[in-house]
Amino acid sequence: MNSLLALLIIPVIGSAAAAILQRYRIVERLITFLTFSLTFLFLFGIKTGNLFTWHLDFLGKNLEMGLQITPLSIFMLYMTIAFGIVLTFYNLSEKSKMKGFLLLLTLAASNWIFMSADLISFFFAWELMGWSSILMIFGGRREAESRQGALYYAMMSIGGSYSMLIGIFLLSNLTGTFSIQSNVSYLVSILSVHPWWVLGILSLFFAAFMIKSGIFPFHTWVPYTYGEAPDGFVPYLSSVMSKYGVYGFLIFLPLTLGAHVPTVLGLAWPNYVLLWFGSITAVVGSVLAFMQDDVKKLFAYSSFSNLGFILAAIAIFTPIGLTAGLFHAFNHLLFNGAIFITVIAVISKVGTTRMSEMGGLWQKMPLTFLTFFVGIAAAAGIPPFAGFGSKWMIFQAMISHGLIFATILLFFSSIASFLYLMRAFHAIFLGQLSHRYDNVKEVSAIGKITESFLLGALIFFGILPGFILDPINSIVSSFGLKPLPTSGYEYINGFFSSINMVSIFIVVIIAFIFGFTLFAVVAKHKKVPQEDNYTAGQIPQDWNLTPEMYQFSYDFYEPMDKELAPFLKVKIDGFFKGFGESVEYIGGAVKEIFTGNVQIYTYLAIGGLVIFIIAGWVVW
Amino acid sequence: MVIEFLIKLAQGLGIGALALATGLLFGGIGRKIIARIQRRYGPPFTQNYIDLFKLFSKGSVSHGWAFDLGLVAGFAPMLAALMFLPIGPFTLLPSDSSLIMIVYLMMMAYLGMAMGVLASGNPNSAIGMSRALMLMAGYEVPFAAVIFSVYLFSKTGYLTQIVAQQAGGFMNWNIVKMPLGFLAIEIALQGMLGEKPFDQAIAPAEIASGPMVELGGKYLGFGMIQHSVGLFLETGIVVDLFLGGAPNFWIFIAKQFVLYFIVILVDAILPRLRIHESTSFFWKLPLFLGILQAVIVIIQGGVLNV
Repeated sequence: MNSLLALLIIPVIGSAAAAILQRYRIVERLITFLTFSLTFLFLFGIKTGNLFTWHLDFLGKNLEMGLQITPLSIFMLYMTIAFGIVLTFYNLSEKSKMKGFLLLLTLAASNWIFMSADLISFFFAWELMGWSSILMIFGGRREAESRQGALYYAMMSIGGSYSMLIGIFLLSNLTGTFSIQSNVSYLVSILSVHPWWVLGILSLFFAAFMIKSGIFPFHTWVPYTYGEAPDGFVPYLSSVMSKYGVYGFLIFLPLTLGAHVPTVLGLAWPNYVLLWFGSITAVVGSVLAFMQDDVKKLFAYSSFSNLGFILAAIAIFTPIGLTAGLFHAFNHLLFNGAIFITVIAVISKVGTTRMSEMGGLWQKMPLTFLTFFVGIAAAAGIPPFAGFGSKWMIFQAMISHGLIFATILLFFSSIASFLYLMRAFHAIFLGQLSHRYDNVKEVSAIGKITESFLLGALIFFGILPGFILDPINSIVSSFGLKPLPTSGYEYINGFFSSINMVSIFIVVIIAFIFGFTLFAVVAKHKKVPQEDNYTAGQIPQDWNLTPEMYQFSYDFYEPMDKELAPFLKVKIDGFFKGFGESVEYIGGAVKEIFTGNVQIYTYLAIGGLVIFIIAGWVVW
Repeated sequence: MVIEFLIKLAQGLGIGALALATGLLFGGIGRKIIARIQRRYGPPFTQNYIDLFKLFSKGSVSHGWAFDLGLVAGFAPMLAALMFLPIGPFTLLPSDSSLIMIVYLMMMAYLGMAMGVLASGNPNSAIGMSRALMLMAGYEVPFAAVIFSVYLFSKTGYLTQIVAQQAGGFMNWNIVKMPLGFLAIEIALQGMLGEKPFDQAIAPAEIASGPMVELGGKYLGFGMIQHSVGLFLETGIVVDLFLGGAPNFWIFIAKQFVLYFIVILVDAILPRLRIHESTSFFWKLPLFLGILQAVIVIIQGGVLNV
């Protein structure tokens, strides 16, 4: 069987099997896991340049449809399917109402998106992905809210799809073909003649991609949907599905490479605008994140904030910008996956998503705690974990262009991410352990294996980034750019300095060994319970103070609210809500016409006929 | 190979000891200066050494392994970062002396320290940590603006090369070429070292020394060496970036002391601000100075054009 087709057919077959057997949860989960693994095996059979085409007779037109493999699609396929395997393996022991067959349909759609060579397949795949994931959102922890979240997501997705559909038809009307390659090269050829036309068509596509990735100003659905989606699905939603937008951007971004467009600070101005969208997204996400109390919402904000980093980097579209963006896409998949998987592990144990009700769980779930710790260290860009290299390359790409304001914004976002990550870390794992959680246990063996794997991956790809940078370099050269120099698996190269991660890692390890030795040789200590705290001579038990009351985590950054208040007055969400309300109002008004009275319908029909005749008379 | 490694290891420990001794000495002299400004006699300048020795020999209480791990993790990355810092003419690992690496290793130390003190479960330390993080959101932004302008100006990210470019006298120092940037980083340094008016995280009479409330014995000792090494590292970075490094250890330490002396004088005369006031302060004047400096550098032709 053709490997390309296998990547589409196997998930569909698996999905059917899972749908039939969904009554038996463990069988369904096992099928999901095995299908992901089998798809991964077929991935080894595909190579750059593989093609598969077929012809479709549609309304008398003979359309050429096809699948094709570019270095970018190979990178994306490996990344997403490998993460899917890890997640579905974890889900074997997970109990939320996640539907395996929908996940497998999403996988089929996802593979199709990354392989499609024509806009029709791309659109169909995009829709399949959208709808299967929307159906998945139903069945979250809170039923009514999850329905709301799914609806919000559905509305935004539909908006994006319409916009993309219009774009596709405009484009194919101009070129007479649906092939992605020839359409892009057509746009390049008319870019210098009709820049506004090109920009108009591009923004129709980009709106769809921005919605899918949650880029400002279309970020508002993300927290609702991530916050309410079933626990087992959130990691996939945030780590994998947000990357479809990135893939979409990368199809159209090479446009400005050879063309003569006006530039701002050495950047083609459409790229400059996109860069600012990315930077603003990064800041908006981080700032809103540190005011959240719902842990899933907090990391939803964090997720699209990182997508802002990625967009800002790929918008620059220099070798280092592109490398940085793709590298961060990979790192984000990894650390975000680790963070979300540990978070859903905690939620499944404590039964709440509110962080102010958690605390002190490090005593109960040590491995989860360590994985989360390394995950947030990587997310904060701390060496030697995955996440440092890509953030540093993004900054280099931006500084080298002299984009000082955008760079400062991104750096501020990076620091703000440190704030919300620490807040989540404290509120979930540190501080006082409530007596409610005395019986909480560490995750099951399957969970432990998953967490150890993610922990290892975060360190491995942190100290040996070359394993990811090598495939990225082939993507960069496939776009006709000169890839960054490589000098071994352990190096992160850039303009300003190249960093040997292995040597950093060794130095840190030696420093830790020295630290622990010093800790062991100096005076002894004895362990005390968590109630044994300094309280200025008071005895907390005298006032019936419980551990929950003694935990400071609600409104952790309250003083900042005053400083940020002016920025929070701008409510993008309110705009969409207002838009929705006015649509509802207009819909209601239109509905008034259809009263069920036949007379009114007759008048309407006559009126319509008169308008039709007059219009025909005027036109001809 | 093994001998080479052992020599490096010994040198590394030597640098650690030097940094610790210098940091503690600075702290002791700082206490003395503040005492004299307040017309007290003050403790002897060796008091910090005595304190550290006492702390490491006293028994103490622990709140569990996360507490222990956090305190060690608060110190070890600081020590690691020190290995990449050009100290006078000497750099232990010159090929990796990337500035951003040092900055992020310091952040790892803060992360470790935060983990340790928060694991103690005392709300005072949580309040202190929340303040420390909010303050960090303030001073890191102008600091980053200055670092980026230095990158664009020097066209390199290696501290060793930045120092080398400033060789040959006072007029070649970056303080002359980028005075606004120096001003911004000097103000940021006040926040980084947590001295008044930016000492809200510790706030002795207000939240029981904040993060340090549960530390005693060797734990407080670890906190103290983290602070001392951090003091050495932070002033050392500014010396390397703006004051042209130094031909030998003594001049390097003297330059560091000048920076610390300014910090101490400001500390002695200003009262503590409220936390949101200080965060927004950093977003105003120092950030403005930093961005202005960066814009000047870019106009002078700093863009790499790649």
